[in-house]
Amino acid sequence: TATQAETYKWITFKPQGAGDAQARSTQWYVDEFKKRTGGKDEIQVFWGGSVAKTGEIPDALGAGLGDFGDIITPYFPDRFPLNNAVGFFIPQPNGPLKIAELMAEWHEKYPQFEEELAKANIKAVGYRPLESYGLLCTKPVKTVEDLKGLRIRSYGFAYPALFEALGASPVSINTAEAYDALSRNIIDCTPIGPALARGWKYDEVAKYYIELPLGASFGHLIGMNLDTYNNMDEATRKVVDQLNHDYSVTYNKMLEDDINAVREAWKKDGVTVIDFDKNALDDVVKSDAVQAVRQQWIKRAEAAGVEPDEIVKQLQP
Amino acid sequence: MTGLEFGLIGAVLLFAAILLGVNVMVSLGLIGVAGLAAIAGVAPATSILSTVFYDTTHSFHFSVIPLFLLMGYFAMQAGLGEDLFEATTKWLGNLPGGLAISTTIGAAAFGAASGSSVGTATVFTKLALPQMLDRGYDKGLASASIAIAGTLAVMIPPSSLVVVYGILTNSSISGLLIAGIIPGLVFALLLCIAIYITVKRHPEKAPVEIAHYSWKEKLYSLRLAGPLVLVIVVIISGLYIGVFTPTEAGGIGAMLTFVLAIIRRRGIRNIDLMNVLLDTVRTSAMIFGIIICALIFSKFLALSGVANAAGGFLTGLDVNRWIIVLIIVGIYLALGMMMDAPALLAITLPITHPVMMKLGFDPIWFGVFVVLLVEIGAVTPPVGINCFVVQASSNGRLQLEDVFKGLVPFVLAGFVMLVLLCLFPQLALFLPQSMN
Amino acid sequence: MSYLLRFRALYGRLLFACGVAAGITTFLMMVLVVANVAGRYLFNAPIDGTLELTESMLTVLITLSFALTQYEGGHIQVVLLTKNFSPLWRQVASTLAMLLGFIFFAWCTYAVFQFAMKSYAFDEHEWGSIQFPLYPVKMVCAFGVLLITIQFAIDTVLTAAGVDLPGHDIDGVSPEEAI
Ligand code: NA
Ligand code: NA
Repeated sequence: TATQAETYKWITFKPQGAGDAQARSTQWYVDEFKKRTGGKDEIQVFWGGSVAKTGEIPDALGAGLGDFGDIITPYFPDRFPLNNAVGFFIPQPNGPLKIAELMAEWHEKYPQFEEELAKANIKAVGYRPLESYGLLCTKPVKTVEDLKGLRIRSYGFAYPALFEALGASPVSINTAEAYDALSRNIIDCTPIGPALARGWKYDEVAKYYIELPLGASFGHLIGMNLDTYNNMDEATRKVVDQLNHDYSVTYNKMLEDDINAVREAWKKDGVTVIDFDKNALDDVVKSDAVQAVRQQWIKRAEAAGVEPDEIVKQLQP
Repeated sequence: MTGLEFGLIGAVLLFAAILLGVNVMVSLGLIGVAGLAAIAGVAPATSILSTVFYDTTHSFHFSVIPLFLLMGYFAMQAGLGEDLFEATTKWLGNLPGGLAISTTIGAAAFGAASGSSVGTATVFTKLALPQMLDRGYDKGLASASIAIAGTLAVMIPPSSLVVVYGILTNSSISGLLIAGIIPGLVFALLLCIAIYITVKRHPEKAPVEIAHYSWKEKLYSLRLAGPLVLVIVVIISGLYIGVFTPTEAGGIGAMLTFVLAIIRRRGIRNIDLMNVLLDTVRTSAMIFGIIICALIFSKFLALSGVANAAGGFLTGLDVNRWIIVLIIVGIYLALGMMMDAPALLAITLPITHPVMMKLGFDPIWFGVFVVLLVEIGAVTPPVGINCFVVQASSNGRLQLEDVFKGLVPFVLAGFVMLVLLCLFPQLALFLPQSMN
Repeated sequence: MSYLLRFRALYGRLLFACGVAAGITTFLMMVLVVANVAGRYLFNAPIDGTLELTESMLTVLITLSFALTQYEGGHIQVVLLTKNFSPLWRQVASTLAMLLGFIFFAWCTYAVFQFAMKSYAFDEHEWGSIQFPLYPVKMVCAFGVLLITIQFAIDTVLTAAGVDLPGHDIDGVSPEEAI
């Protein structure tokens, strides 16, 4: 069957019409895959969660409902704790391309990263970190002092600890309602980057972008069904392996284009960008609350047999 | 066999199973998962079954569905429906078809506290049907006017169906809810006009009321609308000032009507709290059963390629976009004869929503349009849930045929409303746009 | 068959109890949402974990009431065609309908139970502003699906034996039980 033409299925939560770097780079991957297999093999994309929604993709992918799929790992901190390392380290100093490279490096260096996914019958074939985050606010914020008492949208486990340590009040609002919450002053700020701020239209109602150095967050992992991957012929598997690195570079370029376009548009649309001290968060990282979150990852890494020190250093501001 | 063939067979089997009396939920779920298994294998299909129940219900957004329902049941306990009916009868009882018009206006107002079409139809069957029949109203006119008036509760916020649309299409829920206000009121007006014209042409269908109320009585009856006005003012101003989000409005509204019920019934002990809660969870389970199983079926349709093919066919048609709208309306009316609203939305939106977006229609406008369409389906035979409910709550005074016979003018009013929405999209878009 | 009908009624009590638990969960969900809004608006102090708790409460309240709704005939069914069948064919059709319901939910029970066990195996938690284990919620989900499977099994046997199910009226829709 090695010479037979294959059509692989890619299940994604991303709507095709989104037009952002995530959607465009997915299409790029699909086109490039066809080109590099000499037009023999194709990938058919099932967009917009039509086959599996974000919460379902790891199970559906592992069971073989799709051959490719994008997994939002922060939704599965207990299932994929190692691959979620970055989620426990907010803030951290690296941008999205660097984070993609680190993920690839860790997968090379520590077999446990791959084993964790293999347990779910998944193989990582690409990394798609989110852009570097700052804070989008309805009022200007110039110093760490100004954050005190502000209501800041938080989700997951690291943001609430960080914002509480900064004297702000973390508020849980889901993504779809954050627009309303910002426009009606239910919250004052939300952590986000320029491209996503525009994607969710938050920048229509919150006009101050604070360059709070939160760093890139991870993000999405492009996974394959492990059996599909193993059963590919040598040449096709090589194409997939090469695409891993090339995808990160292409995605990052698309992301930068998006961010630059948004920043340019902001000048016209009256969004004020406020610079922030690059080391402003160094002190708060040392606080007990933030360290406690990091310790949770370190414990998990040790339990999985990974020596955490070097990874921790790479993610320390 | 290709996926496309599996998809078509699945669609045919679905109709057969539903017609043979298999639970709608079971028909959708079983054919959906069997189809997934046929295309992709048993293990992948099972993986969807394993996640879909939890993934669909573990949602903050969806919490408004039981909360809006709870709000409606508390509103019943608070006697909001009875009060409104009494007040509107005093004002409009002497018009030709006045009782039916009162019912429509009362139901529109009650709709501001209830998000359930069937719930509203039930309340007003209990309140208004005996009154109309006792006064010699035609059975068809009386019952059909109640069945259709229920749909106003879904057009006018709060509305659990609108939330379903927002979630299935990722649209702004607050925008959608606000967008329904004007079309809901216009539709109420159209229904009143339909009653008026019907009675003018067939005066024997609605004997004119003889009892006259003095101005004093009329004005005094306005106080009965007080509690409802309070609910509306608190919710709308709360949303505008930024006290709570649209999802949270479900909890606030339920609590508010709960307090009103306590006051009305003079104490929490006199509220049938147990039954209110049981009714809420029963209806919620019914709705979610349909939503979950319709999701399984739509995953099957998506994987089979039928959904893409149908969408591709519609977008590929080289015709005026309004022709495509007409085709879509035809599809909804045909399916709406068979299916109830949440299932219909869940099955069709993955196909129709992307098509309409590609044609450049506004997602909020389409939300209002499609909700009206599926609500027309809620009264059309053979499967018209609202009509079933009116008949079932009539204590044997009606046949199902009576209800269906009286529907013609109201379904026509529905068509007029659809045309108005196409001619004047601002009816739906004005409020959400001015809100930002 | 009266023995089986008695068993059905007894089982219905269990489902009723689950329905009451679901109802109380709904009420508490309302209270939680209101308290969170009040805390946030009045004291700038929202209740930690409202979002996460509400999500889990919704799963619990829905899955716990699935079976009760089936017991009372509240899940929508179309009998337009079958009500014109001869009594024998009507019985065949409704037995088939119940049997298909049993098969579907038995499949679901197997799947959801495995899903819950997986969650238990990696000690899955809610990782929001409060943390609590998630596998109990998934277990309740599996339990709710199991309950409706058993209900369909009972009703399959009863309809096959020609017994009219209590609470299932001719139009298949009870008032107040459809949106
Ligand atoms: Na309503
Ligand atoms: Na219908």
